[in-house]
Amino acid sequence: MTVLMDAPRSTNTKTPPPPRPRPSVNRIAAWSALVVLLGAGLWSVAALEINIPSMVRSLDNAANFFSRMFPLDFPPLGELLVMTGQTLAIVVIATVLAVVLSLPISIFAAANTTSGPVMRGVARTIIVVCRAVPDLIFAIVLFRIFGLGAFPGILALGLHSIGMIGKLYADAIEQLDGGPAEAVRSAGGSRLQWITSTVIPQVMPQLIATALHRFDINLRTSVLLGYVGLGGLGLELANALRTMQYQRGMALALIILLLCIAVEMLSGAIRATLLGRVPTDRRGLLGFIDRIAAGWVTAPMGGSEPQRTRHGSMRVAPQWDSERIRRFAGVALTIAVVALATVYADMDFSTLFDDLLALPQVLGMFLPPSPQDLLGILVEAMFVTIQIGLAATLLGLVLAVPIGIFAARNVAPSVGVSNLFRTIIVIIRGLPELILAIVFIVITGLGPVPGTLALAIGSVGLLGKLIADSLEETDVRVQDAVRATGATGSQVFFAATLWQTAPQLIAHVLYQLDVNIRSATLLGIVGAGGIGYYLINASRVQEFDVVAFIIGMVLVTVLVVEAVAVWTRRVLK
Amino acid sequence: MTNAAAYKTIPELGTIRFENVTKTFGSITALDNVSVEFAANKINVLLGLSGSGKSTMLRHINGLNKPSTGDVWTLGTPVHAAGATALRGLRNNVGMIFQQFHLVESMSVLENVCTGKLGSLRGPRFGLWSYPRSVRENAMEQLARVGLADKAFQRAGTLSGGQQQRVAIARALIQRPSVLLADEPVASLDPLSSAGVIELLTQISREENLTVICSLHQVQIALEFADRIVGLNAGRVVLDRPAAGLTHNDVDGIYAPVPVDERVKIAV
Repeated sequence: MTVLMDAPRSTNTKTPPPPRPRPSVNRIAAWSALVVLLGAGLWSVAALEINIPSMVRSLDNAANFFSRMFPLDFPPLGELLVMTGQTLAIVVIATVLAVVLSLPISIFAAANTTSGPVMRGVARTIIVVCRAVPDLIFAIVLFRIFGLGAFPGILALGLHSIGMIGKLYADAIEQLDGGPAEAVRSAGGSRLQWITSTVIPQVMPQLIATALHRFDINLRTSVLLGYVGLGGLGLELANALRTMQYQRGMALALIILLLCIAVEMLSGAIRATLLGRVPTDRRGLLGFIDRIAAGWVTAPMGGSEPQRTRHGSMRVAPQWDSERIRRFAGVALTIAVVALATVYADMDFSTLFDDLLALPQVLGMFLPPSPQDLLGILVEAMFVTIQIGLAATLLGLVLAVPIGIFAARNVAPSVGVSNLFRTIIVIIRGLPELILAIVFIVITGLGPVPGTLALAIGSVGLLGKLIADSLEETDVRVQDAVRATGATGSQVFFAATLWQTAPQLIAHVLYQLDVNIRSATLLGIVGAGGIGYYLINASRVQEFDVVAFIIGMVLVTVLVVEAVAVWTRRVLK
Repeated sequence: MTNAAAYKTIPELGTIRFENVTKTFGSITALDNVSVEFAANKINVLLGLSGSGKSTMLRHINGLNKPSTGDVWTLGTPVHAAGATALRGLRNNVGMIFQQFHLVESMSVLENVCTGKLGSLRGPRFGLWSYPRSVRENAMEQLARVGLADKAFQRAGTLSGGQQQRVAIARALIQRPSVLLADEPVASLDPLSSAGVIELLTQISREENLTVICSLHQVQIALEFADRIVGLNAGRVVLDRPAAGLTHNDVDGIYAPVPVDERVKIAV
């Protein structure tokens, strides 16, 4: 038996109570960083003059705008279908490209599958750089190298996607149970063999789910890249707005909006099925396949004799039962979609070789980076971009907390309420920030305010979902314990639920800040304030040394913000 | 009590020999100067507390771990000095089963069995169809041997623990090994499934003339199953005798809480 020797039971003695453990320097620094960020967010909201009176003043503009918007002018159906098809084809190919490139990179980046520290470092660096360089910047550079067209646009979307897909794949691989891999190793399997035979089958559902998630994001971004010449709906939208055809522009915006929401819902449903969050229901089409297949599948005989086909040979492939039919249909459909998209995306490789030969010369145009005589203006614009990111995250958080709380099944007053708020979150997530920004620009005029508002609303989609998810994952026993003391609903929430999710909440907010600063760069191109405006202008007038200088500023900012976020998350975990 | 005889010759082909093997992980000594030899075609059981070095010992036999000092010989291969290719060749002849079965749960039972054959196949495989028909037929036959041919196309995760361990045995058998390593094969199973798995292991080992090295927690099973029992305590061999005629009392000594300095704390 162990006996506690040094813990006095009586409080009568004069021994002072043991001192509290002193918080580490890192924790103090991390909390200070958070307080500074909060202060900076508040100050940004004030400095950008985002307040109720100025919004009220814009109401006239809004009324004016809405009157000019109607009647909506939809393009002819045939034309519309062609544009939509082109956009979807570009996004499909870009996402597939990103997945194909991300898989080997993530295998080298994951600690349990990498070949060594050097390759791991290289792979991690590729992922971080791809994440830090916004798609718009990839697009500007690649359009310069390869000329306008679908191929450089696809490459831009694909490369930036590696930043997210590669990271999530590597995380998924690192969380795997290493047992099956060890079993194959102990049977003499090589590294490549145990990776393809155990690691990839185990992470397959997450691989597909992540790809679908990225598909949603790429769809929204592809619209934005229309502003720099990527074909499809985005290009038409950009052209319409540039020529002040608001009725056509808003009609296209509405179509993009509906398309984004539809794709978001569809991919959400597929992801939920894949990750097993939905009980496989046997109604509808799936149930029909089940019933048909059940008719011809023969049950195997006993376990001690090999299974045989009707012709007497040994059975070495599964029968065409419903599961095999579904799997086959899924794979066939995917291949068909990708093949169709490849044809439809209209990629032109005829000049690829010449373009690559000219690569050193083109890259030379970007060197050396120089602000020319705009240094002061550029630094100030970068500063505004950071302010937009901070303010948008803070405003988004203020909106997302109540929405997330009502969307969490275990906290919301009723299931109906939580379903309603979950639906609202999905719709907000489907909204392309670009469309929001355009609408706000028309209402409030050019400047940082519409960009901030657009990003704030966009943040609600992701933050609201993450908040709701992490609330639902809290340990209900703690809540029961507090409830058992007779606490009210709100007391339970503040004492037990909220406190449990605080570290995750902080992590999500920092992640959102990171995302928002990058998005703030992009939205500048439609006139929503900040550095993006100068980026797109310098690109238009072919001052590539300025473009390179701006790219450098954006990269440094993004990497610093990301480093602070990663460090704070790690310390406060 | 240990076979402290100084080996300096190359051991016979079929045997497994540990020669003054010490293995440290950081400050922890998992194996402490172990010298022991296992003859071919016998069932050997390792007994000992958790952390006594049983798993580490098994993992040295097929080179999943390498000794810090000392030599390990398996089937004529010097494991302590073997490179990747030599190890792959050796592992091809050494089957291994684990406490947690180590199956890919989302994969079909048949494909899991096929992965046992990877050591003698070239190149990566992805999906059941990528294995030669002969391998798939072989896998089906091994499943019939462990009584699970009817489950061949189910996902491995849908099977019970005892069934999963049988699949893992089939995966080891498809290698046609001459040595079978079993790391706590029944520690995660209920008594009834345990008895079934041990019975299957015994039967197959006799049929195939396998050299079995199996770590176990249950003394009773060990006494019934083994030809020879090796007891480990804190990385040292403290018992090494034929199982015949061994009693519970003889075996209990293995479990003495040894490290004296730690015992002092417990007694206070």
